[in-house]
Amino acid sequence: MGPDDLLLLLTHHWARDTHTYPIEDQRLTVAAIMLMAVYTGCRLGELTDASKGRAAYKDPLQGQDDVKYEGQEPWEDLDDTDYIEDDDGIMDKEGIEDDHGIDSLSRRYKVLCYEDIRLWIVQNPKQGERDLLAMEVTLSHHKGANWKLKPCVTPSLLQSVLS
Amino acid sequence: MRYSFLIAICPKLTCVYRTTFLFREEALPILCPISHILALAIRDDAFKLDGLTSAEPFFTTNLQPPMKAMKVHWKLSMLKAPIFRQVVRSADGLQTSEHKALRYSTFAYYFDRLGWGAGFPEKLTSYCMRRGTGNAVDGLLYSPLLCIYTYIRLGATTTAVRDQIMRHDPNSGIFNAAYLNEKVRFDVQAAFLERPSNDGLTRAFTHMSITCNPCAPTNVPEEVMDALPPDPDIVYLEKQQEDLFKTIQKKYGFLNRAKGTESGKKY
Repeated sequence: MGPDDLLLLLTHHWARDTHTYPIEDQRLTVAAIMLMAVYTGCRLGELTDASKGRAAYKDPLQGQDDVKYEGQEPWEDLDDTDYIEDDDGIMDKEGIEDDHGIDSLSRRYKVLCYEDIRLWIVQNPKQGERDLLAMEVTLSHHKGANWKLKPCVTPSLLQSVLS
Repeated sequence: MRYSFLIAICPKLTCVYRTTFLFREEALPILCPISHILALAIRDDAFKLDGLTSAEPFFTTNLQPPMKAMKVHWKLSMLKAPIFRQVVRSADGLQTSEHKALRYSTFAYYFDRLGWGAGFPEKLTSYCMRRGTGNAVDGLLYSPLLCIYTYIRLGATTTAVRDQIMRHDPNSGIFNAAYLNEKVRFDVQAAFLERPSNDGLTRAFTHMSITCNPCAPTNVPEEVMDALPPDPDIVYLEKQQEDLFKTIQKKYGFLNRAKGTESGKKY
């Protein structure tokens, strides 16, 4: 996938797409995710919640080669738990405003949050032109970030340490 | 001797766990990551400063020396909230959740549907994007004779930076094994003939969308379907079925009475 593909997809997404989203806010989200993904090369698990352990989403594509996206959309299925609010996930909003409250808040999902993004207004290096916007994004939840360090001891190494 | 043990585990300890990317404005709004994030933040009302309900203030600032840059702060309550959030059902119908992150499967559904709608011949997955980025920033892997050329054409990085971007362990070779575009992004023919290649064909052919026609309809319109003559095979089979039904009706009266008989099985 290259720049031309991206441009084609985004143009289709904004101008020609006849599919609907559960709410059209999601159209912006999808476009933003696509841009973040191509500009960082991150895995989608860093931007979206790919954790398991909930009712699996029924992929309408499974076992079908020629799919038509005309049937029921996944969010119309009342049994799909993906579209239900997680009660245990509601953040405790009391006491946020005090100095210590912020530390007690924890991230519920290992995805990109607002604190990972730093938006800057920067003076234009070219004199007389308008200020520029810049954005720093820190990605820290990549695959393998949680792997524990496992010292591996080969027989020859063990021998050299013991000797 | 003990040091050798330490050295053996050290490469794993020095692994980079956080990577920071810098984004800048893009002249084309459709490609500008900052505009998109800004729009999401305005929707979420995530700015610490109240009353920022449009993007205009961000584009009309005029910083004066000595202030070179200004950081935009988020609301404390928003810091731990995911940027991309899921749509959930509520009493008022569907709405964006305040804290639930967008599910991967939901995005995969949107994305594949988009690729299908845009006419991509292959199933569009999230790794298409990652692979595309990896191949775009990769460049100095080719033989020394060719790398100057690739470097100029594609503005690529070194192997070390590529592994940092892709968050691969240095020298692990994962990129070469799993991500390198199967279509060779290089005009080997021209390289062998020792002449520059600038026909742009290589570039066009290593992209996924080369056969795409976004204007092509996704379904056959009904009037076209109606105008088509019936399939001769199906007409023949339907005739056979009708004949058989008549035979069974004559012989047994009803279909269920013909169960177990030869003609019943055939039907």
